[in-house]
Amino acid sequence: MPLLLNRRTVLLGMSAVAIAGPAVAEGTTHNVDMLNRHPDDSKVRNVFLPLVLSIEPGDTVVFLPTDKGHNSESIKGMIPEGAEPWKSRINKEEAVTFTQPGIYGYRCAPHAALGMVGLIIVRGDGMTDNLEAAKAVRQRGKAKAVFEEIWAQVDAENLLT
Amino acid sequence: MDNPDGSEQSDAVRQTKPMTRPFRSIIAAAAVGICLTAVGTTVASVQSDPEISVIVDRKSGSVELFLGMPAQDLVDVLAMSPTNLTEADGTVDFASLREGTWDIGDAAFASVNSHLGDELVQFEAMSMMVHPSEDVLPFSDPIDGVLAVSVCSVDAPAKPPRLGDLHSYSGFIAYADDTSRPLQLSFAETGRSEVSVEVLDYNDGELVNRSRHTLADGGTLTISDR
Repeated sequence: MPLLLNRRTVLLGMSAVAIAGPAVAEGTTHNVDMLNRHPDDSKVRNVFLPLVLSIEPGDTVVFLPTDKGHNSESIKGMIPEGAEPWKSRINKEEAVTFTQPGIYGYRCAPHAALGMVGLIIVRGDGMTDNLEAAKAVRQRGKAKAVFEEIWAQVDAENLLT
Repeated sequence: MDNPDGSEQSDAVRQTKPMTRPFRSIIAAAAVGICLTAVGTTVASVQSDPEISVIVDRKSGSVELFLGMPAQDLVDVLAMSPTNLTEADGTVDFASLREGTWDIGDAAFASVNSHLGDELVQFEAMSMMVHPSEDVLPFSDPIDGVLAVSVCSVDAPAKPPRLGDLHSYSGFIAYADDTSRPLQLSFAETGRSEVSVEVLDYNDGELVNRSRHTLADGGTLTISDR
C-alpha cells in the first residue's frame, strides 16, 4: 500500500520515528524526475526518469518537479488489489512509500496521453499478481506506445524474475 | 515508410525552407469567416497565411497529427460545442485546463472521419492547449506540435479570455500498420466558409512535403501517401 507523503510529512515522520519509534516504513529512497524533455533525446518530451523502477517493499519514491507542469498519479487498474492509489499535486514534490509487492503504473495527469507514464515494480511475493491486469489496461494516446516500450524494457532487463 | 519518389520529395522539402510563423492575422479571419458556405478544392497557389496549420508525423505503427487554428475554429470548422472549452459566461478558465485536456481534444475531433488509405482509423487526442492569439507559438515541426499542445503552468491572463482571443493547438495519435498511405480527414458540414490549410507532412521527424489546401465546408483534406 503506497503512502502518499510530501517531503515535509516525510521529514516530520522521520523526526517522529526518533521520538516514538518506527512509525514510518524504512527503506531506500528513489528519485523520479518529472521532465519536460529527456536529457539524452530532445525529441522525447514530457517524461518520467527513470521510466521504470524496481524497488523493495518499504522503499520510498520521491517524484521531483524538476520541470514544472507535472504530477504523478497511479493509473486505475494498474496497481495491486488492496493498494491505495495516489495523486500528487502539479508542481509539488511528493514522496510515496510502497509496502505491497506488485506492479504500479502511473502517469502525469496533464501529459499522460502525450506518453508521460511510468512503472514501478515492488519486488516480493506476489509481485506479478497484477501483471496481466496492468497490461490489460487500455492506454490513451501516446501512452500506449510508451507502455509497449516499458514492457519491453521490463522483459529485456528481467525485472520480474 | 519509404517515399516512392525521392526526387519529388526533395523538391517539396526545398520549397518549405523559408518558413516563418505560419499563422498571423488569424483571429480576424475567423471572425469574419463564420457561417458561410463555400466550395473548395486543393489549390497550390494560396499565398496568404493559412488559417489552419496541420502537422502530420508518420512513424512506424502510428501517425501523429497536430492542428493549430484559431480557437473559434474548433467550433466553426470542427463542430465542437464551445462548452467543452468555455465557462457559462463564454470565457476560458485556464486553470481548468491544467489537469489534462485530452477529453476536450476528443470532443474537438469527434466529427472528423479519418482514413489511412481505405482503412478507417481512430485518432485519439493526446492533448490540446490554447494560447493568446497575439502570441502564437512556433508550429512548424512535430516537436513544436508536442510543445504547443503540452499543458503548462503559466499564469492565466489577468482578464479571462474568450474563444476569439485564443489560438488552439491540439495533438492526436492513431495506430496503424501502414502509415505511409494517403491520409484523408473528412470534416462535418457546419455552414462555415472555406478555410485555408497548410499541411506539413513529416516522416518520423523529417519533413517530406508541404502543401496548401482550401477546405470547403464538409470537405475532405487529403494528405498524399509517402
